[in-house]
Amino acid sequence: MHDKMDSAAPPSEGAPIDGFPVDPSQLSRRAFLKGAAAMGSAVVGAGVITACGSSSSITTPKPRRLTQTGGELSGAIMPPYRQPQPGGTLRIGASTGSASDTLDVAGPRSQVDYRRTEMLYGSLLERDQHNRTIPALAEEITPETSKGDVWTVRLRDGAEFHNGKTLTVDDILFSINYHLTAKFSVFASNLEAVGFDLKNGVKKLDARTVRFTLKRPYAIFTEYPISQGYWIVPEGYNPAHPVGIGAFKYESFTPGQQSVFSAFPNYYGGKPLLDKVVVTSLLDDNARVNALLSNQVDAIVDVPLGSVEQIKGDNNTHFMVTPAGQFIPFVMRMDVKPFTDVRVRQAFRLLIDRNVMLRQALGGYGNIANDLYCPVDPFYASNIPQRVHDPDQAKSLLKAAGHSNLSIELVAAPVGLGAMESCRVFQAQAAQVGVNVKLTQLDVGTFFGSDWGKRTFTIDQYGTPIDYFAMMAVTEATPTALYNETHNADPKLGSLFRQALVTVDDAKRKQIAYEMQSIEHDSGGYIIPFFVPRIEAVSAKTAGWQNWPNYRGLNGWHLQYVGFAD
Amino acid sequence: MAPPEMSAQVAADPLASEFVEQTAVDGLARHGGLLGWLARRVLQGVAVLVVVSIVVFAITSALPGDPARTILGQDATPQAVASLRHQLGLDRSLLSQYGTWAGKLARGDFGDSLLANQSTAARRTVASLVLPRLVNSLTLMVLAALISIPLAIALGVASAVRQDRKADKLGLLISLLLTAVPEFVIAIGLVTVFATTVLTVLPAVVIVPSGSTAIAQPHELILPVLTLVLIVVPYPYRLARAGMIEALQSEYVTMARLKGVPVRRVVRKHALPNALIPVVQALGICLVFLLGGVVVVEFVFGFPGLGTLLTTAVQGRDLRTVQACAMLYAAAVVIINILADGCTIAVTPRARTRQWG
Repeated sequence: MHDKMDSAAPPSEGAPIDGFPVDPSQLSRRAFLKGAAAMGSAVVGAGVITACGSSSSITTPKPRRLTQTGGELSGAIMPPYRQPQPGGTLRIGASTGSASDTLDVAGPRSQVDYRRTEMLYGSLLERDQHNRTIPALAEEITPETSKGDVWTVRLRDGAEFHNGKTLTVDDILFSINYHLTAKFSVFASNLEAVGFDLKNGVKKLDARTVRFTLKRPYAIFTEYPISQGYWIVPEGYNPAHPVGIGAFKYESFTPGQQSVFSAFPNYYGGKPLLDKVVVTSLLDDNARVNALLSNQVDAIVDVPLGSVEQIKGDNNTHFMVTPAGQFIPFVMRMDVKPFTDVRVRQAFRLLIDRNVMLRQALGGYGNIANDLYCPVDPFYASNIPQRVHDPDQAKSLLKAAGHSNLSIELVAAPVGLGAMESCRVFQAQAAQVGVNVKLTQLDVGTFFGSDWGKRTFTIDQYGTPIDYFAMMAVTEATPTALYNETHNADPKLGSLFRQALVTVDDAKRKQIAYEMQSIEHDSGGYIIPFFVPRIEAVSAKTAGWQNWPNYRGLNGWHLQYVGFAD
Repeated sequence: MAPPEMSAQVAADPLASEFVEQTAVDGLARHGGLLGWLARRVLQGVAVLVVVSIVVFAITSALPGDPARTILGQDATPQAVASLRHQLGLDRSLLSQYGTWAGKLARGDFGDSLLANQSTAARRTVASLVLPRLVNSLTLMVLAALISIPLAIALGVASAVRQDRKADKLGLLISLLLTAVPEFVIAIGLVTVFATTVLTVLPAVVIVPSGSTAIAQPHELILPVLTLVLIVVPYPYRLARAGMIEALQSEYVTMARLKGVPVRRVVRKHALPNALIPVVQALGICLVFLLGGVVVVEFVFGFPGLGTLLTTAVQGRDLRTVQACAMLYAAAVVIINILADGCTIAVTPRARTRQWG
């Protein structure tokens, strides 16, 4: 049974989960990547597996609806929409970049790397403006069995690479192999999880159709990484002169400094309006803002809160806020005192005033959170009432646990917008219920060093996770999960998760997700006070900016739709 | 007639007076003239660099965190980390690591960038990362030095000739203000006035296109160079002024004026050369000060120079690049000092003659 993708919506790019507004010479948090891998490998022998919360094409009697969008986050601030005119060079000031930057399709590291690769390259599927999966380079992806181990991919006809070559199945095979074997490939482990058998499991049906027989069932074939990451390159690809299939093609690149792209007129999605895009790394916040104010760049990302008023007051710039699901949780290690006692954990979650924290850490931008992540997943438990500030209850819980005068060290680092500020607010609010917090600030490099994951009380930073189960897989579903920094070993949680992995029915899985989130909300180890938006600014001469809910900001980096207008 | 005296002010300055003169006199007069002096100073410089290299190596080794872990990210498997540690030689003894590194350095091999090689197939050497940045930083330094030193001398002389009049007092006040205000504030102040808030006529940051160098964007260099000039000028200005005043009050100048030599000629031919001496003697300090100022300026203007490379390399634990940058700065200081002392000898005739040895 076929499951055709709805191709009515305009094309869009997918969004791998990625790094922070801070220095990218740290890592980009690829929690979502690991999630898909963990799920894939957990699936061996389990029969029909399902996707987590989003679309997939399983042969069930009725075709699975592609997606509902999850909760839309509110609070977008966009300049008034104007129709952009063709032409012009858009100069962007990025906040990340270092000597390790690369345009290699297999190895983006910093946040700006990801943005650049998204401009240069394309993938088989994409997400549209409502986060629905739609065809991109693949016209159709069809499961041939009910187990999800044989998939047929039919490619779009006549899609052209930057060098004029037409996309064929050979390019797909080359790309898969490249991602699997390139040194420092970031997609290798995820593609491993998909289970491609490039030697014996490939059958070319014609120049643009191929049938994959996977090594094991992988029912979420149309999910990440196929739909969002793992970009396609032509045979003979050389990262020194990168050739892709995206809307912009490579002109020049100096790592840590600047990269220049020109519009690709034969882009399969239509010729971009702009002529060129220049991305410059301006790491210092003030230098970046000054560059916009003195008209040396046309758009900047990651505006520091201190500069917001200056930008709002300037007639030549527009202020932009794109809501996102990035979060900076407080992490309580559940296997170490005092957090072994659930009452202490609950008390800590009750002692914070989230509205105050949002105002002080993010200047009021962003969204309150309910100690749960994945707000955009359809399976987000929006029925769980929002936790409120309750210092009295916190005090009585601490007293009952015998910790009326608790002293604890909070180890933190400036891992993202609002991180250190939220720690200081926590410290002040904790003092009001008798908890004495000693705040230790490290530099980001040391913070993510060998002690990461071992600290009793600390913070962390996550990009926007899209799927709840994928996120769970890497965090709290099992005691040995890669990022289980809370050291959550709740057996109920683990068994529910395993159940979800083998549950096809969407309604049943939603129930399981709700139950899991209910447990986490009640007794988990994360304190998630808010979601961090993208705060950006653009020149008043630019036009066409819209709120793409893929949480990357700057029109979702679909720069083929923006331009200049008088 | 007595030989020209050093100004009292400079004599009070330890570096510019006794130490320099004494070294110059000793080395030169005793051992083989100018060439001998140069050879001795170069050897001293090398010794200094060796000591600095030990210190730099010790500090970078003591940076908290495991460089291999930082480079690979926390997603890395323990095997990958161990393998990278072995590849980087981090599992050997410190002494052995230092030996390898120092040996390579002596041959001019800065090694490979740890960071740049983690994401791509092509090897990137530290030298290829450092060289364009070094050229950019030198551009700033040379431009600033070429403008500020002659400017400081000209202003100092003009001030001295108008001693105690309004212009002189204004000059002293401004130089005091510039010395008192932190460099960072001067930089940001200029940006605010000329680039972002009051006027928007000059660029606020330096954006160097791929494959190009800073000198190709002269209008973007105006504010950074202006900042450096404002930072550096006050000190040599005061020295030139003091030297000039001293020279104008000396006996031979009085004699020349009594003889009827026109004031202009007196200033130019007789007083000026002697007023320059304290400036030349302090040139080393001025240039090293300029070196420090360049780091601040790079930061504020987003300038792609050695300073910004150093900070990102430290954050990313790119040890080889950090070590290379630190050694380059140290070498620059050593070279500047040798050049400055050479200039001092050139303008201090006494130091050149044997009889003062």
